[in-house]
Amino acid sequence: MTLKLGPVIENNVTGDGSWHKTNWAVSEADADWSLVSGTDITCQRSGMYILACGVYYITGTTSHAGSLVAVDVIRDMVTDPVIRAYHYNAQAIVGAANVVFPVDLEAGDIVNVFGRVDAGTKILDGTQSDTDFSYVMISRVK
Amino acid sequence: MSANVWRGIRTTGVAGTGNGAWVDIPWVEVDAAPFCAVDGAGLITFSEDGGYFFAVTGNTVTGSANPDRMSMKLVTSGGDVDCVEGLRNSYGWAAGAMVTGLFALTAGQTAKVQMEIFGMGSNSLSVMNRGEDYGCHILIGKVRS
Repeated sequence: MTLKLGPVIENNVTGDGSWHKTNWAVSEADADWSLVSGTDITCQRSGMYILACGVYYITGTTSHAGSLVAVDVIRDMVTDPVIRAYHYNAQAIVGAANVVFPVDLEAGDIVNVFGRVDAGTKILDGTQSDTDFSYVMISRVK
Repeated sequence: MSANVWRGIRTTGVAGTGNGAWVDIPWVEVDAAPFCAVDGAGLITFSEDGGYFFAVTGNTVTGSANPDRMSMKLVTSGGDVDCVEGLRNSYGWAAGAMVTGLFALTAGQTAKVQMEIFGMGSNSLSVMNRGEDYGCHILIGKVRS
């Protein structure tokens, strides 16, 4: 019972240092989840889930002062992230941030994955190569 | 109270030595769960037998543009099951690491998370001067009774 979303639809998300909801395309889905408007993942069945999120990014230059990507998974509130991971590279062309974690959810809860990249960077959507894209996988455990 | 997941957070107050010594992370409880409790030193004590999934993220700031490394590990009181991940920046101000693990624990067993930082800068784990929270998060899910 796994929902697999990806790759990210939006390229250029967005390089201004602010948080953005990641916009997904559904590749697989089941009765536990639904996806609304490409960003809001709605839980259909209460339980504990394992979420795996990965975001690739590209700076476009080896002389960039620093680039950062974050995965922020929340439940209805931007101010209360469930978990947050940063990967920060300087003088690197590409990087990635990945999180895997358990979360208790009730039916009707909405989960968003937020990405943040510094100015001059962008989240990859597969246009660079077949392997450069972001994803999220969700599976109910109990 | 969550039935299946315990969550803690640390936004500041942990300092790495910069010489690779392991230091404990003292968690602040965010979501309580019936199967474990945490003390002020970050020691997590389990009250129920079960299978547990650990997810820990840590983020550090070096304070300089020198080569640095950050690692985290998960240690249970059994002593024979550790999970370690390290991340190295060749030329950067900050680093992040994440460890995950799946453990079968019995009531009374404990677990703690440690980090180490090695580098040439003034190393610390704190809220960065970028105005963002670069702290640590922990989630423990009970996956089997």
